[in-house]
Order: sequence, then structure tokens, then C-alpha cells
Amino acid sequence: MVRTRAFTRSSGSGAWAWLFQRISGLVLAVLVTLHYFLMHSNPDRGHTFKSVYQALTDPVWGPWFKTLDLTMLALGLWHGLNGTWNVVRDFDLRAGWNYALLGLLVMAGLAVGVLGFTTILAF
Amino acid sequence: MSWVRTYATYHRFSGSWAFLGHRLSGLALTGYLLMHIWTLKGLQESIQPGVPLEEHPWTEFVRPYTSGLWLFLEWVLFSAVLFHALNGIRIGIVDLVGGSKYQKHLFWAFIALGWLLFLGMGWLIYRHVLFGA
Repeated sequence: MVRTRAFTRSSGSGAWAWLFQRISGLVLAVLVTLHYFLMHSNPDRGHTFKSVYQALTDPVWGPWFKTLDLTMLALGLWHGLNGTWNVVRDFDLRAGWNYALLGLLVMAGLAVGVLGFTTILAF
Repeated sequence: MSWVRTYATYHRFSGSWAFLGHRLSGLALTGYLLMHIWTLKGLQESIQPGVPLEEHPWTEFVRPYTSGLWLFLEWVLFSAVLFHALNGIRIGIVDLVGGSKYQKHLFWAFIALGWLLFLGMGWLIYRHVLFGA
């Protein structure tokens, strides 16, 4: 099992990001697979405005779908962009390039994150 | 073609191919996620009073993606999702609960499970096309 003490003593080493990459990944593996099956349970699901509107404004299921979508959005963006950042660092680029690319990833995450949140919460 | 030999020799074990596949599918899925959210922004367009839900412009906007080549690519995308998700679970088992002793068996077990889920998704996506709505 993960040793908690080793983690709490390793601030700044990237250990938390490493652990959270695993945790978010395991959650996403389940949620995204479920999302894919849900969105293809019939041909309209998620592919017409009416079906999206009815699902997200459903008095019983709506809040659950929104929670599912917002969770996938937040975890997915962080997991994907942190993973991309890991790939970037493995190329051993010069520090300037690293920070330029990190800035690009952070900005993409914030911009698309806001866009995604406002889209889901518009319902 | 010496680089083919070098490449094949370097990637001698399943774990090495899994590493490469995990990175490539991860980058592809991140790109898709950004595109996916961008595509959905049209859902924010408010409903016009008196215009039925069926006539919202977003339905027309996504229609091309629900048939033909795009529908096929949506199925293919699921193979990237499955590879990344199942291999990610394998990584979690290796890193967090000491699965390194049986990680190669896990790799092939997950490949088999992945094929089952992929074919199941194919049935879900194409049953309406093949057998009617």
C-alpha cells in the first residue's frame, strides 16, 4: 500500500501529482467507460439537443448527470494536461521551453475548463 | 531497415509497448477532450420561445457526426479509451497494490477484456444501422 508518511514528507517532489494521477485515472477509467456506454444506449442519446436537455433537466437524474459530467470534466482536464506535462518533461527540453509549454497547458486547461463548466451549468 | 530492428528489439516486452501505447493514446484522448468540450459549447445557445426542442440548431450541428465515417471513428475512439483505461488500471495495480509479479498476465487479460468491451460497443453503436431503429 501507499505509505502516507513518505508522501507527507515529500512536498515539492511531484509525489502528490504522481499519486493523484493514479487516483484520478482509476476514477476516470470507470466514469468514462460508463459515459461511453450511456451515450450510446440509443442513437439519440447525447446526439440531439432534445435528449441532452431532457437528461440534464430531469428532476431526478439531472443533478446526477451534471455531477458526473463536472467530475469527468475536472478530473479529465487535470489528468490529461498533467499527463501531457509528464510527456513534455521526458523530452528534457530547455527550461524556457518547459515553462512556455507549461503556461500553454495551464491556459488551455483554464479556458476549456471554464467553457465546459458554463456549458453544463447552463442547464 | 535497421531502425525497425532496433525498435523491435528495444520494445521486446509487452510492458514497453504498453508504455508507448499509453502515452500515444493519452495524448490523443487529451486532444479529443479539448475538442469535445469545444464542440459542446453550442449547447449553451438558449432555447427560443415557441421553438420546439427538436429544432434547436445544435442537433443539426452534430448530425454529420452520427453516421458514416464519423460514426466509425467514434467506435475507433473507444479503443483508445479502453486501452488507456485498462492499461491505467494495470498501472494502478502495479504501483499501488504490488501487481508487478503478474503484470504480464494482467496485460493479456485486459487485452481480452478490452476486445469484449470494444465489440460490445460496436453492437451498441451499429445495431440501429444494421437492424433498424
